[in-house]
Amino acid sequence: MKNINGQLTEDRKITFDQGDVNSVSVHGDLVAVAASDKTANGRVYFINADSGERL
Amino acid sequence: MVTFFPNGKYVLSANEGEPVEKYESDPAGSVSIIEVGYSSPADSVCTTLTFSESDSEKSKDGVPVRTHDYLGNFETDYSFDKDIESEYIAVDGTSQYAYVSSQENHAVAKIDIERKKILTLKSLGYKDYSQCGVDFVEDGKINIVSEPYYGLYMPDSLTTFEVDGKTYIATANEGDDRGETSNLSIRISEFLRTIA
Repeated sequence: MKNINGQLTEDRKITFDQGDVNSVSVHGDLVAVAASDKTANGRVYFINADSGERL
Repeated sequence: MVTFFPNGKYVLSANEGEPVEKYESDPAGSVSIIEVGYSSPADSVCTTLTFSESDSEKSKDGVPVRTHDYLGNFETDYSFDKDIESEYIAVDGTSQYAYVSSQENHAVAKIDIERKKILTLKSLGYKDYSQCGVDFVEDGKINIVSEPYYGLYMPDSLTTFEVDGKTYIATANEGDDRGETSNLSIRISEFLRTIA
C-alpha cells in the first residue's frame, strides 16, 4: 500500500509493484483499480489506460 | 470489487472489510459511490455507505441477516457494520439501483445510486435440500440425493437481468464462510461426533 505504481506492460496489462489489488473496471480510457491491505485503508486508483499513468 | 456505472458517471466499490485472523482488525463492510471527476480523477468525490441493523430485513422464511450474534468470543468490540462483508456489485437495467452481495451474511443489499442511500439489506433465507438434489459426501464420486437439510445462500458474484420489465438477480452462491477466523463453521462429520 505504501508504493502502488501502475505500469502498463508491453502486453498492455497494468501491473502494480505492491499492494493487495483485487478488482479492476474500465470505462473508455479510464481504469479504476481497487486495492486494500485488510485494514480500513482501502483505495480506488484511477489509471489512464493508454499511458498507464496513475491519475 | 470495483465497477464503473454504465454511463461512467460513478465508480462503485464493494468494500468487504474482511477481518484478519483472530479479529485483530475488522473494518466495517461498506459500499462507496465515487462520482468521477474526469478532468481530475484524483479529485473525485467519494460517498461511503455503511450498514446498520435498521437496514436489515428478514427473508420470506424469517431468516435474519447473520452478524455478530453468532461470532463467539473472537471479537470484543463487534458491531453490525463490521460484520457486513460486501462482495460484489451489479447495476440494474435502469441504472437506478445497485445490488451488493454480502456473502458471509447471506444477504443482498439494494442501493439507490442517485440518492446515495441503502434501501435494504435482505437475507436470502434457507435453501431446502429436501426439495433439490446435492452431493453431500466429498469422496470423489457423484451421488446426488435429496436430504432433509437446510443450507444458506452465500452469494459472491451477482448480476441482474430484466424479463417483462421486472428485474431479477442471479447470484453465484459460493458458500465461502468465515473459516478459521470464527467458530461459525463446523463440518457435519465433526458435528455428529460432537453430539454422539
